[in-house]
Formats: sequence, C-alpha cells, structure tokens
Amino acid sequence: MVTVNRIGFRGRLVSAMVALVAVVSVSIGALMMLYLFEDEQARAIEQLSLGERVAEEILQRRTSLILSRLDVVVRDFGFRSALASRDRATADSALENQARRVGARFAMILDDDDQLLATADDPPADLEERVEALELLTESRANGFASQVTVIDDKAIELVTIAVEAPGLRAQLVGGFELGSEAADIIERLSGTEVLYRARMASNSRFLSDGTEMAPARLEELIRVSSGERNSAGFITSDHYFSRIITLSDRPESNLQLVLLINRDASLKAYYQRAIEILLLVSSVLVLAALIALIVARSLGKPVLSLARYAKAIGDGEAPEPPPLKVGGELAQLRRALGDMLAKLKDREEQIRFAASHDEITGLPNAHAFLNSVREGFRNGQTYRLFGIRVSELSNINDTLGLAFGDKVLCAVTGRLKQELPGHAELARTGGGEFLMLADACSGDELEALAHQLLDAVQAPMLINNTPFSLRCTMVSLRLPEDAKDTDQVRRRLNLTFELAQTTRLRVTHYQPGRDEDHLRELQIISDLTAAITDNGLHMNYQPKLAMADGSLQQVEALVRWVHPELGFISPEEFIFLAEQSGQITDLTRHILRRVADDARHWQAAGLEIGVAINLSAMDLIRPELIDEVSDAFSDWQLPMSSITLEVTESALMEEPETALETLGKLRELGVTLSVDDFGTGYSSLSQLRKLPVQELKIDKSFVLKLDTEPQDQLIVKSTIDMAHGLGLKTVAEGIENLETWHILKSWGCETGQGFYMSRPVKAADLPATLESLQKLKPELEGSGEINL
Amino acid sequence: MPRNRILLLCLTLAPLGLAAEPRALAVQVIDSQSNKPVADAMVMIDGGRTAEPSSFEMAQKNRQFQPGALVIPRGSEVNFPNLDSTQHHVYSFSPAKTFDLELFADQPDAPVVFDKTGVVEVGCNIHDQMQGFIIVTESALTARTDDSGLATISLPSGFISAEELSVSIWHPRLANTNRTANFTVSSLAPDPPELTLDLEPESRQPGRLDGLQKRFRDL
Repeated sequence: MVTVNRIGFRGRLVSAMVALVAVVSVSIGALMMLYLFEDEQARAIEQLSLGERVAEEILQRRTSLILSRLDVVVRDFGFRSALASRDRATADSALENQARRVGARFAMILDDDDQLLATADDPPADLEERVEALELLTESRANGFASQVTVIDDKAIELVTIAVEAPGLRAQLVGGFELGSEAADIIERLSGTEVLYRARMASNSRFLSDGTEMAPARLEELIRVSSGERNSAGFITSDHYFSRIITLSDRPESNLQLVLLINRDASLKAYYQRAIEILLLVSSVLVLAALIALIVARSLGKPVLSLARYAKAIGDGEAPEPPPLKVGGELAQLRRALGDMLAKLKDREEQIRFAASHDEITGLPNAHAFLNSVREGFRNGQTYRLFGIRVSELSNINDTLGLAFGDKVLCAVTGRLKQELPGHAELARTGGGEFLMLADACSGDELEALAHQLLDAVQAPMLINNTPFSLRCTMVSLRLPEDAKDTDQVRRRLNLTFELAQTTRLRVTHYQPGRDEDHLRELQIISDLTAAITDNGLHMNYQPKLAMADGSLQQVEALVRWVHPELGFISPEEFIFLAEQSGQITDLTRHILRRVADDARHWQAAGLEIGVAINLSAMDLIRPELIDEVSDAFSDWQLPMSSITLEVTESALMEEPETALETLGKLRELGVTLSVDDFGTGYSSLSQLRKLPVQELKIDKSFVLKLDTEPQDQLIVKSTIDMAHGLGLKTVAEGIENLETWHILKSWGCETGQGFYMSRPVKAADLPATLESLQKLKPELEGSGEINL
Repeated sequence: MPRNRILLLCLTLAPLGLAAEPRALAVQVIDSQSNKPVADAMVMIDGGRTAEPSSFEMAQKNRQFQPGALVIPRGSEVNFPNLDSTQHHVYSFSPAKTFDLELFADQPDAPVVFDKTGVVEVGCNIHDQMQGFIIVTESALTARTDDSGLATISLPSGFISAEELSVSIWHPRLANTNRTANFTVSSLAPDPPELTLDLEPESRQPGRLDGLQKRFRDL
C-alpha cells in the first residue's frame, strides 16, 4: 500500500499498461510455445505412426517377396527331384544353391515326420527346436507357409517356412532371412524415422547393432526410453527422442522389437530458436508498450501536474491564473473546482483576516492590528503619541447590567473617541475596557489639551437604554519611539504605566523613562533567586551583638548577602522585598534557617558559644509551617533555646495581627527569644506591643547612628529604653558607630549593642578572629566612658 | 487349425454259426465333423491271401487322373494312358515308388511296376492341380465305401477264427495322403465296427498352396 502510494499516477498507469501487455504477450507467447511444442510432438507422433505403418508394410512385403521366391523354389522340379533322391549330399547342395538364389542366410528342409532332409549354410543347431517352438511347422503344414521374426546369434532373423509339396514328397523348407540394415534403411528412407532392432530378454535388452556404433549416452537414453512408460498411444517421449516401439515378436525367448526414433535435437533446436524469437518479440512489444504508456501517461499526467501546481499555488496563498487545459471532462471540472475554491478561499481569508484584526463588538482594529500599525510606524521612523484609556468599571457594568449593555457602553465610548480624535489617528480596542490610540506626536499644552479632551469625552455622562451614568477611566500616554522602541516594549511599558496610573491617581499618567528597566531588573532578580537558593548562591554574614554590661559577645545577627553573577551585589532589602512579593520568601526563610543552624553547629563545635538572631519576614508569620521549620532547623541546638532570637519588624506584626500573634505564641513555646526589629520606624501601637509575647525591642539604627550628637534621637532612644524596661522588655541598639554612643546607651541601661564600631558583619569562618579583636576592644567598652551630654 | 475328427463306423456282418460258410466284414466310415458317412474310402484288411499282381490303368483325362485313386496288389503294373490333347509329365517322389514319365502323349513307353507296398502319390509336373493316388497293398481284401460309407469285404475261411483284424483305410482327404490309417477291429462283433479317421475338410481339396496364392493376390 505504501509502495503504491509512493508511485505516482503516471507510474501506476505505466505499470498497469506494461503489466497488461506483459500478461497478454507472455500468455500468447507461452501459448504459442505450447502449441509449437504440441505441434512438434503431434508431428513426431504422426511421423512415428507413419513409420509404423511403413515398417509393417515393408516387413510384410518383404515376407511376401521371400515367400514368392521360395514358392518358385519349392515348385522347381529339379529341386524337388534332388530332395526326392534321398541323397543327402545332393539335397544339401540343391538347397544351398536355392538358398543363395533367394538370399537366405541359412535353410533347412524337414519332412512331415520332422526328419531332416537337407540343410544349407549351417543353420543354427537349435533351429529345429526353435522352429517347433515358434509353431512355424504346424502353421505351415496347415496353411502352406508361415513366417516369424526371431533373434538368432544377435541378429534379427525372419524365419520363413513354406511347404514343399510334390506327389510323394511332403516337407517344409525353413529359411532364415536377416532383417538387416536393408529393411531398416528402407523404413528410414520412407518414413524419416530412425530404425533400430532391439532384442528384449527377460533379464536385459539390447540393441542389435548392425555395425554402426552408438554413443554410450545415446544408448543409455534409448535403453531407458524403450523400457520406460509409454503413453496411451504407445509413444515415448524422452530428452532427445520421440520413439515408438513395434513388437515384431513377443515370444519370451525371442522378443524382438523395432524401435522407431525421431531425434528431437533438430526440432528442439528449431523450437528453441522460435522461443528466442518469440521472447524477442515479447520484449520488443513490452518496450513498445512501455513507451506508449509513458507517452500516454505524460499526456494524461501533464494537465494533472499543472493542476497540482495550480492547487499548490492556491495553497501558498498566491492568486494564480488557471492553467490552460487541452483536455476536457474530469480534469476541466477539477480546474473549475480549484478556481471556485480559490475565490471562496479569498473570501474566507478576507473574513478571517478581518476577524483576526478587528474587535467583534466595536468593529475597531484589535490589539494585533494596532501593534501592526505601531510596528509599521517604527519601520517608517515616524513619531507618535500613544494614548491608552482603561474604562474602570466595565466588569461591574457587565455583571450588573448585562453583557449587551456593556457592549453598548463600549460602542458609545468608541463613538466618542472617534469623534474627538484627529482624523488620521488610529483607534483600537485592545481588550476588556482598554482602548489605544495612535496620534501624531505632541507635547506640552497640546498634549494636555488632547488628553483631557479625550478623557472628558469618555467620562461625560451618557444615557444608554434610558439609564444615565458616567464612566471612570485612567489614561496613559507614551511617546513613540522615545519611550518604546518595539512592540514588546510598547506593550510592557503601556502596562507599567497603567499600573503606575493606579497609584499616581493622576488624570493622565505619562511613562517615565527607566521604569521598565527597573521592572526588568526585578523580574530577573525574582527569577534568579530560586536558583541562588537551591545552588547556595547566597552568603551568610554574621554581625556580633554584645552585652553592654561587659562587652562580651552573646549573639550574632545573621544577615543574608547575595552577589548576583550579572547584577553584582544586591541589597538584602531589595531582594527580600521582591521575594516577599513573589512568594519566594518562604523558601528563602527556610534556607536561611538551615544555613544559620549549620554554621552555628560548626562554630559551637569549635567551642564558640554564640547564639544567633534571625530576621523573619512578615509573610513568615502568617505561615503555620514556620514553627516546624524553626524547630527542625534547630532540633540539635546545644545552647539554651533562648539564645536563638527571631527578629520581627513592627509592620509585620501590624498586617495580620491575630495570625502573627498566634505564630509568635507558638514560637515562644519553643523557647526562642522574640524581638521587635526596627522599633520606632513603623506605626506600632503600644497597646498591641503590650500583648505581644516578645522579650526584646530592637531600636532602629536611624535613631542610633548619630545618637551622640542628636539630642532628639537621644530623647527618643532614652524614652524607648525606659518604656521597654517598663514593659519588661530588653532593648537592643543597632547602628552603634562610635564609643560615645556605646557609653550613652550603656548609661541608659540598654542591654545589648550592635554596630560597626564593634564589628561589621563577618563570615562564619571569620568569627574566631572577630572574637579576638572584640576581646581587645573589651576594656574600652567595659569602662563607663566620658559622657558629655 | 484342429482337424475334423471323423468317426469311422465299421459294421461287421455277424458271421453267424457255421465255420465253413463264407463271411463278410462290413465297415462304415462317417465324418465325425459332419457325422456323415464318407464315400470312396479304400478299406483294406491286412493279412490273408496275397493278391495276385495284375495290370491297371490310370488315365489322364480332362487334366485329371482317372481314376483319382487306385488300389493295386504289390507287383502290379499301371499304365498311364494320356487321353488329353496336351502332354503330361507324370511322376512321383513317393518312397514306395519314385518314377518319372517325362512329357508324353498317348501312352508312355512302358507301364510302371509298383513293387513296394505303400501309397504312391502321382502328379503331373506341368499341371500342379492333377493328383492321383495308387495304394499298393499285399492284401486282396479290399473294398471301397459306397455313398452310405459302407464297405463290405468277403472274408476268406482263414480269417474266420481271427478275432482281431488289421484294417487300413485310405482316403484322399486324409491329412497325410501318403500313408493309410490303420485300425484294429474285431471280426466277432455283432455290429459293424465304427472306425474314426482324421480327414481334411472338403474345401481343402485340391489346392495346397491356396493361402499363399491368396496372399500374393492380396498384395
């Protein structure tokens, strides 16, 4: 099936025609060969039949001739007298004489009492018995003559007996006459068949050669032939001969056969010659047929191929001219059908193209068509002002007043925009309630005027289905190509500007260059953060927290750092904020918890009994899993659990206070210390703070950095410390940059201090070194210092 | 070809009572094939009185021997007078008497003396169809069957006591006409004895080479 499909129409036609001709010509050829063969056989059989008749006739005539000669002999008075003389010598010589006359090979005479009267030419010793066995004498006595063919001394001999009857003389003359090549030659000459004598004995058969030697192979075949099966007509067919066997004598002791042969060699040669001729004829007929088939297939295939090309051109979207056809009928019909198809295809294409490029409701170009126009504009190097309007409550309208109503609103907006737009400006509906307009480049007052004109048109009260209402919408504008250089940028920056418009709440929001780049950076950070977490691309730094009382190192605050392979150092604030936005904060927190626990395990194994402080995100607090994550990470914690401090910002606590409170309660149950981070910067409610299960307040570094010189900061910090103490909370001050600040805080009773003055954040491996340098700093820190407030 | 069997019935006229009374032996020859009596069979009883030689004639008339068969006592002479206008060459190769009377008209120079018993077949060298038989016998007791196949032979007194009699019969249609068929019959049998002979069918006579001739004609 596959092969057939692969063969083309022409190929199939050619194969079919050639096959047909092949079948016909091969059949005819085969039939002819069969007829020739049968004809040859029939002729051979006829010839053999003729040979048989001839042989029988010849042998009969020969016998008659012998008999007639013998008849004369036995009637010869002198011969009879000689016999009657009873003188053996006389009788023998007389018989010899007569035998020579008639050409007998030998002869003998027996009287009626089977007494030997005379012999001539040494008849075989057993001739009497043989003659008796053949019943020649009996027959001859009854009929006056008898003859029989037999084999004597490897010769085919015809024994002829004739009665010698004279007054007072009753005897039988037996003469032996050789059936030699003479008779065979005559038969051969008359019938055209080869003649061989064959003696057939019970045990073996042999040919009675008359001197001409036969090739052994031939002899072999002939022996096989003559002993083989003969067909119903008595003919035998073998490789080289057609043959027929005539039994001359079928007595067991003297079975003599005449084998008639026709050598097939000549006729076979002629037959093969004819076979080759027929083969040549068949081959040339086949070649001719193939040629004709090719020509016909060509003439048939040409229009088909031209139609195929026509169809392909149609398929390729060209609008080709129908090919000229010389033939009619089905192919012309096909051409017509293809032409019709082309026309309908064009119509449908038109419809599809329109549908693809236009909005169904308003009939305006759609986003695709609009972007095409924009692309066209870029290509032509033109400058435009792109306006976008989003109708704010479209989904509400659809929900409450029905889609049909919503559609009418859209149509009304379309009509108004069309009215207000300059004639050649392009308007498109690019989604829900979003309309885009491509107007000539403008700026300044002109821009503002056009923008407000459009906005007013849309927002002006309208009456639809007797329902009066007004729309609210946001409007953005971009300069092309200054604000976006391709359609991708157009789409992205348009969206960004719309988002911006949500927050700016301006009537018209213009795209601000650079916004998109920031946005892209954020996207990259978000997408790369996951890889950084899983591939350990983040580093942990630890900043010591010292007890203010004696300057001893109690804890380190774990700070995550990220050096992005392309963007370089990224501030934790930035990527943590983004992680919170994207939801990756969960993974990040879990990762940090594990990293810190690992690092702490190492340094604790090295003998450093230092606790850790870890910052939690607001989003962490609303996840119940956090509890398990913390307890899992620190399951083999060697120090008291209170040496683990979890720092939470004020704002985190304010967003979902109840859930956060519940989480904090459970964390507290773990025994960890909870700390309020960045205290003083958020809008913390003191009543809320009172309810929180925290043990520590961490005063924001903005109050601490210049504590030694800013009296206001001193006031805030001091009262905060006092308040914390009043609530039973410990205080931590971070951002200590000089010894003065340290001493001030210490004098106010602040419990823990952290800052660059003591130590910057260091790697876990550098902690022992940091510890040493802190040790050196210790005397300074321990003292009460000089406080000049 | 099987030969016809011919039943020869020999009817003995019963020699009733008296020994001195001359008696006769009757025989009948019947063709067994046709079951018909056979005429012109020569019946001879061997033994007894020796016949006296005598003189006989076998003429040639209308290219036939007249008579066709002749029973003669041994030592008799036979003349072969030619009554035809053509000459004849009368001869025989029979062992009992081989003679050759070359072409002659009227009367041969001398009669032929048959001094041996046996059947002598006589022919003419120039007329193959001519055939005659001369049966030379010692016996004087000979007879020829009549049309009813009966032959009656008067028996001399010497045979009266003889119970077994040797009977020789010759007929031109015997298979071998060169010899007689011999039988033994009882002289005391009340009915004439029945004797069988193998005879050739009548159509066989006289052409011996008919088959051959026919064959030649057919060719």
